[in-house]
Amino acid sequence: MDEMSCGGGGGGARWKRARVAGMGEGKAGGGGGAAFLGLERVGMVVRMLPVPEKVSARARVVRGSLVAHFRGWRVVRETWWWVLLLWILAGSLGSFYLFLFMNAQSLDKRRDSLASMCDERARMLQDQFNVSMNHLQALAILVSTFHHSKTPSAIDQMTFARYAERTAFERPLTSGVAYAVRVTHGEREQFERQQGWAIKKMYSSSNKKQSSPGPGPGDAAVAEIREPAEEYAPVIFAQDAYKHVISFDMLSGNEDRDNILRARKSGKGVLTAPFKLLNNRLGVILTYTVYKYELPAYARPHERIQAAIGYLGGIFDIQALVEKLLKQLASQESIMVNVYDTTNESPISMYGDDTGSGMCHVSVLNFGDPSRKHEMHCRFEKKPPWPWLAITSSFGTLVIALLTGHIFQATVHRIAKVEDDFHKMSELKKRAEDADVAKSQFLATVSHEIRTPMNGVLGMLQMLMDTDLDTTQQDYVRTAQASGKALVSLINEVLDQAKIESGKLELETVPFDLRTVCDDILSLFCGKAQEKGLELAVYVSDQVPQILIGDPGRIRQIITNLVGNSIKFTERGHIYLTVHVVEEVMSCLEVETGIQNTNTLSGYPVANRRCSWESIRLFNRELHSSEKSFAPIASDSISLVISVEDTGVGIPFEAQSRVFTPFMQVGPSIARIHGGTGIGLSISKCLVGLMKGEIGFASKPHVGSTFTFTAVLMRAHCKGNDIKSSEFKGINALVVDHRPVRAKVTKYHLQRLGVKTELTAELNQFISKLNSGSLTAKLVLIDKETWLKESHCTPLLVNKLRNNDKPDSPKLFLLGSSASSPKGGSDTSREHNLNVIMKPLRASMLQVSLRRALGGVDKVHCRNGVVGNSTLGSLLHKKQIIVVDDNIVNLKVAAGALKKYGAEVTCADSGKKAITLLKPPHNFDACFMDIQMPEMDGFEATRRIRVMERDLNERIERGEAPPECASIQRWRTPILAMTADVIQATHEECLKSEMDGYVSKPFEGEQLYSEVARFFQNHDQVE
Amino acid sequence: MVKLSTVAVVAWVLASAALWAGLHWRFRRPALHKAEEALVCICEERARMLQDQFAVSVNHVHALAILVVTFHYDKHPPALDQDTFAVYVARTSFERPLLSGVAYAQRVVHADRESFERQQGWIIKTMKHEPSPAQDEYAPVIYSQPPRRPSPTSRKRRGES
Repeated sequence: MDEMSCGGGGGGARWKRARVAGMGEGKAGGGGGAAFLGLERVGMVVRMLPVPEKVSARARVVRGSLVAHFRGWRVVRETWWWVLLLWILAGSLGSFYLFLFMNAQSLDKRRDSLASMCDERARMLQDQFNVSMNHLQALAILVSTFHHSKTPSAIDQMTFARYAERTAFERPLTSGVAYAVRVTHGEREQFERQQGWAIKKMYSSSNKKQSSPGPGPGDAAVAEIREPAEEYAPVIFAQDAYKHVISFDMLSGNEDRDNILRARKSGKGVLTAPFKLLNNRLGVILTYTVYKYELPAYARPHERIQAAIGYLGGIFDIQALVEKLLKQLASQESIMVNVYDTTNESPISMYGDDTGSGMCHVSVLNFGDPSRKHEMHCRFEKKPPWPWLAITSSFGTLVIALLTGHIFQATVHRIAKVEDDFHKMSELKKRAEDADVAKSQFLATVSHEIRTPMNGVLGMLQMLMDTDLDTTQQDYVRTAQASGKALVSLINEVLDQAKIESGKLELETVPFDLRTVCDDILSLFCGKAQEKGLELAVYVSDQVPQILIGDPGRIRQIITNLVGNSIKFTERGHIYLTVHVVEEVMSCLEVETGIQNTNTLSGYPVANRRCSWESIRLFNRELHSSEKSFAPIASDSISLVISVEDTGVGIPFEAQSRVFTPFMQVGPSIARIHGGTGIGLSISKCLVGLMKGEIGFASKPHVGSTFTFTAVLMRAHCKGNDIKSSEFKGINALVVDHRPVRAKVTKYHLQRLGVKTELTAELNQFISKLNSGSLTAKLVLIDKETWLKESHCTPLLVNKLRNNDKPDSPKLFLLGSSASSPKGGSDTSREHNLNVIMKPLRASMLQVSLRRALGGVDKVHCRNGVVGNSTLGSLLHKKQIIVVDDNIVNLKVAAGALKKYGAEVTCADSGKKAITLLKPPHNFDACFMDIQMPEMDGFEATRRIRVMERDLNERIERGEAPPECASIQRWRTPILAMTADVIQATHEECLKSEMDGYVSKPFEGEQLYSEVARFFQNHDQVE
Repeated sequence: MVKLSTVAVVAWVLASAALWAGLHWRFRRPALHKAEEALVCICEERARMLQDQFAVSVNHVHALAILVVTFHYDKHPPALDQDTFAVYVARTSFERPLLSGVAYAQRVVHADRESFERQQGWIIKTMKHEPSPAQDEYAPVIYSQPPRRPSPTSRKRRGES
């Protein structure tokens, strides 16, 4: 049965096994990629652990600042009531003082008004009085002129009386005038005889009250005759109303006597004290002296006394004068006027009987008689009005002060409220920040905790797939593995989104080789690409430096995300990853325009690359100008343009503006078909922003999409690991491919290995060169598509190669991909026994293939179509390997993977145990050491192992080696690190600990082979 | 919300302005009226005072007229002559600070001209110092106030008188 099946359906059986193996390899690669992303996060988690301390420190600083600020404000809040009280008190006092000030002002104004009116009336009264005095003085002059200066006299009683009566209009305030002549005692008898009457005595000696010339003294019949005296002043002329005073001696009355004596001595008019007149009104007597001749102004008193010849007196009505005056001023504000004679201690009222209280002003009156004093007292008739201006002004000031206080209170209250709200908000903000930190820590911890068992699950599923399973079981296992990988990818993306949102994402700055990163990405996606029959290729420009400084993990993540999306949405054609320098891209933009769309990697049209670059062209110009301005500094920085071109379904136009929105799917149907979280592009956009770059795209529905982003990196000034070995130096190669883009990719990979490459588009050119003998290439790589297209030439070519048994005949390789017909590939390989190199091309696997081809003819034949697995099996067959890991599941996974390749595996679950087992001498050929282990990590264990080996080597040199070690010249056990963290820092730590390399968990065949081959081949050669 | 507060502010400002204008108008009218009344009162007061002062001066002239009647016409022979008149007027000039000069002219009919001239001893002249032509009535000055300062003209005039 078995023989019949193998013989009858041999092709079918081989095809089935090859497909299963290829798919397994793809799954392993995919798993490795997921592991890369997953294990990468562990490092991120570890590195992120110090972040909470920073946040905590910042929160502590903020809290301290808040406390200090709050304490200062509390002092203000405690004192503001006092400030408000003081303000209100000051406002009240201010308004009160304002009221007093304005009230005093109004009072002063009122007093000034009263004073001015009183003074005015006093001055007018004086003037009026002086006018009346002048009239009396003129009358005295009349007597002097017409009586004493004329002989005979022109005046007698009748003439005097008539003249006085007729000129009375001129003296309305003087009621009566009289003239008394001076008579000495010697002249008395002659005078009395001439006059016809005797000089009489006034009635003052018996009754003082009757001293005035009233009706009493006026009665001549009852008057006594004047007794003899030295001098007499009898009245000789009098107004008719006062004729009864004629013949009376004025010197016989006390007051009249004083008046006469003072008048003749001073030469001026003199006044008597006020007395009641006949009409019950008060008056004074005014007296003037008549002299014999006109005296000069400077005459002395005794001269005046000698010259005196008579005395003229008039009765003056003060009340009438004052009333006349007040009538003139009736239009002004009414004031009450009192006139007093203040010559003595007790004032004598001359006018007015007002005794009211209130403001009073006193004006001094001067009536011409210096020996007598008069005053005028004035006061307002009405009470003063309310000081409305003062009241309103002060009240307004008070209101303003109170309003200001209210504003102040409201402001302080609001500030206090805002301060409390600020304090509360600060507390809430701190709580929110703590919650955010806790969330990030929780996410990091949970993601890490989930990733570890998920790696175990995926590893176990991978091992399960390698066992003998029926179709149904394999389908179940494959589905479970795909789901697990999707879960791990989802966890990684959610963690990245959380870090981006919290702003805690930090970029690493380490040297790395971008070409290696691109190869790793191809390894990650080659399985999926083969499943879909897609052409997957990478090209890195020669102008890109070999070693750059930046964050390789993040760049890998961005490119992985873009390529992953392309694979997801592409059903046919190709996915082409290119890396250029910005200056290179800018200079090629014009040239790019002319390229036809069909000249692509797989022949299918693609979205115009120039459109994708145009969206970030402005940034390029800015960068260019920036570089010019900072030329000395920017010379170390380099801007890369990385594009991912696909021939997928494209993005609908209406959805293109929302491409970078998190969790955005183009449509429900696409989501159902392809799935996905939808946050990859958002994360990529943020990462590109962190790298000072920009991301854009160009897409056409049903044609394809091209995503392009830029990143700014630094050039490295140290030489990195040069994977170009000298074994391929001097070797020439010829690439035959009818598609120039694809040929360029093949040339790129060969040049990385140091092989000089020549391109040709047709197989006939190669044949003609072969015939003419001008072919210098030792390697000929023909694309299988070109081979099949010109299948009519292939038999001839094979026969020529077989016939030529020359030693320098070129080696022929077919570049095959799953895009080609599996049947055709299998037939060709079987038919001609040609070497087949499976695409996508990578430097490591290309190197292995070339080395194997050039190494020996007997190894050219390949089995089951999987080159890597076969070689790895031969390397690891019957090798003693120890695996050290603290996780039992990881131990089983690693042991299973190694056993699958024929190795004999010993397990150790701790560093200490590993040290014990690896103590020389031992039989182990290699050691796979986990790095993250408790109690003693991989680095420490490796250092101790190296110390023991150095001690033994020294003893061997001194000849003290034990007998078991005699056959070995130098002990050096290869130790490879097993780690989930693939960042550059971990790699450097491995080298520093004298580890020989590292592999990522779970194991990937290609990487495992590339690391192990370095040691075991050398070992075989040594042996 | 913003519009409502803006309208409130504008309304408040307008109301305040209207209140101010109303108060200003309310207080302005009485003040103007009072000022006008004050002006009228002050003007009338000064007019009355001026009138009184003038009346006083008129009274002085009247008193002098009475003096002439009393001592010139009521006395026989007359008690008044030029010298007496001059002395009295000069001595009482303090009473009339606003009057610069006074004089008395006697009424003479044409029929009495010759006897008057014969009695006075001088011929009645015109203001141009020419003999007065014949007319129904004459008013020759017989008493006059002398100039306050002596001068040749005054002396000449007195001589002519």
